[in-house]
Amino acid sequence: MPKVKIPRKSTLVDMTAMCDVSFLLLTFFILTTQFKPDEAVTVQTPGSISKTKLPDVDVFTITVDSAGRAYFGIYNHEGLKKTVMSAMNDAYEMGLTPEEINAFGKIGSFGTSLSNFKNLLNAEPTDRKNKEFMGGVPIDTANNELGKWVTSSLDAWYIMQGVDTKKQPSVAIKGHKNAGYPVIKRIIAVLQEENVNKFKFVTELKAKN
Amino acid sequence: MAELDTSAKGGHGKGKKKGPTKQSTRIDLTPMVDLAFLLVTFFMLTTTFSKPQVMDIVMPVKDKEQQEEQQINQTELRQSEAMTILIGGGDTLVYYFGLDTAKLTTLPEFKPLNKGAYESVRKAITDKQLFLDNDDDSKTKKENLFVVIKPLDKSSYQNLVDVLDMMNYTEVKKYAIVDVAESDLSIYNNRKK
Repeated sequence: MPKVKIPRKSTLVDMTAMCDVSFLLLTFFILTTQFKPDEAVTVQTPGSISKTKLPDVDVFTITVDSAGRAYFGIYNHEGLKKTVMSAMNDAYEMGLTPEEINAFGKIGSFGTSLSNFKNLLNAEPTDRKNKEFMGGVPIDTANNELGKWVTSSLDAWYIMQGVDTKKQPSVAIKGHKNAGYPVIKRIIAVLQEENVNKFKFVTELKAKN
Repeated sequence: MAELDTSAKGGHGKGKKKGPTKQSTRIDLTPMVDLAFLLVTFFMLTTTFSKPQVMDIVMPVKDKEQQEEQQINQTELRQSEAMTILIGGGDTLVYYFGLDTAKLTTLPEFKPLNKGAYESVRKAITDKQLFLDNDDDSKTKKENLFVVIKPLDKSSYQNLVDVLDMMNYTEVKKYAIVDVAESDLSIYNNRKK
């Protein structure tokens, strides 16, 4: 009996199809991607069954971490940020240079008091989360800087949109779930002092049970 | 691996014709696929797909003059249609119906994080809604149930959101976050543990 010869087959596979699929996926992800904004802190928000989504634009966020420190943030709008910064600079005589105002355009959210703000703008991006810049925006009645930020931001927003705009900016409170209620209450009070009576609580999606 | 496949010279046996050899145009695509998947992974990890959910909160206008300007009419709250939820520390809450606190004695406490308790409070709300719709008084309606939420200073943000979530779930349209009064504190402190 002659031996049956099994012909050796090449293990090379045609990669064209795989290449097609991977580039299709790549294109999809490139087109849909939205980079995570650079946040000073990430907080764990409580869950809710609410189905409303946080809008992409015209949002000002106030983040509250578990220790009750507040962080203010303007996202996705560099021009607006620069306007806000120069308004703050004029109003509170912070003595910032145009470069420093431009640097603010790159900052997502911050928890730094006005007295330390110049240093924050001059710091390297990697140093901006250092302890000295993360004390939180002061919210107490004696030194209510959060209120100043909210007013300047809303004013700048309305100027940018024009007086008779139909759009409305949203203010979102993004609290850590273990944050105490008194801090939230104080922030609500700050917002109400600035005549912001409508705002949003950011939550995570929870299944309806 | 990454060679240009030039096996055309292999040919069929002998008798090769001389002349320009035909080169195959096949290229090994494996490195390209590697690269593509690397990029896919990068984009997958940096992307934020799900936008966070939000709860819309509307607080009453504080300023008296502005209230008049905007002509906000304040209807009086009916006893029979009111409900109060007190949120305290340690994930506890107590609730009662009506506004008259004088008649109240001890109230049972509920732990909203505990699923069973959470459901029992929710059930109390839906029962009340049903009662308002079906009782003899035709004036009281389900939609008019007004829930007053009073978070004590010891309560956490999570508890507040949980209670607001309960409002969404039970479709209570009217609710308000209100500061705590002295009488509420004593009611809360007298609760049955």
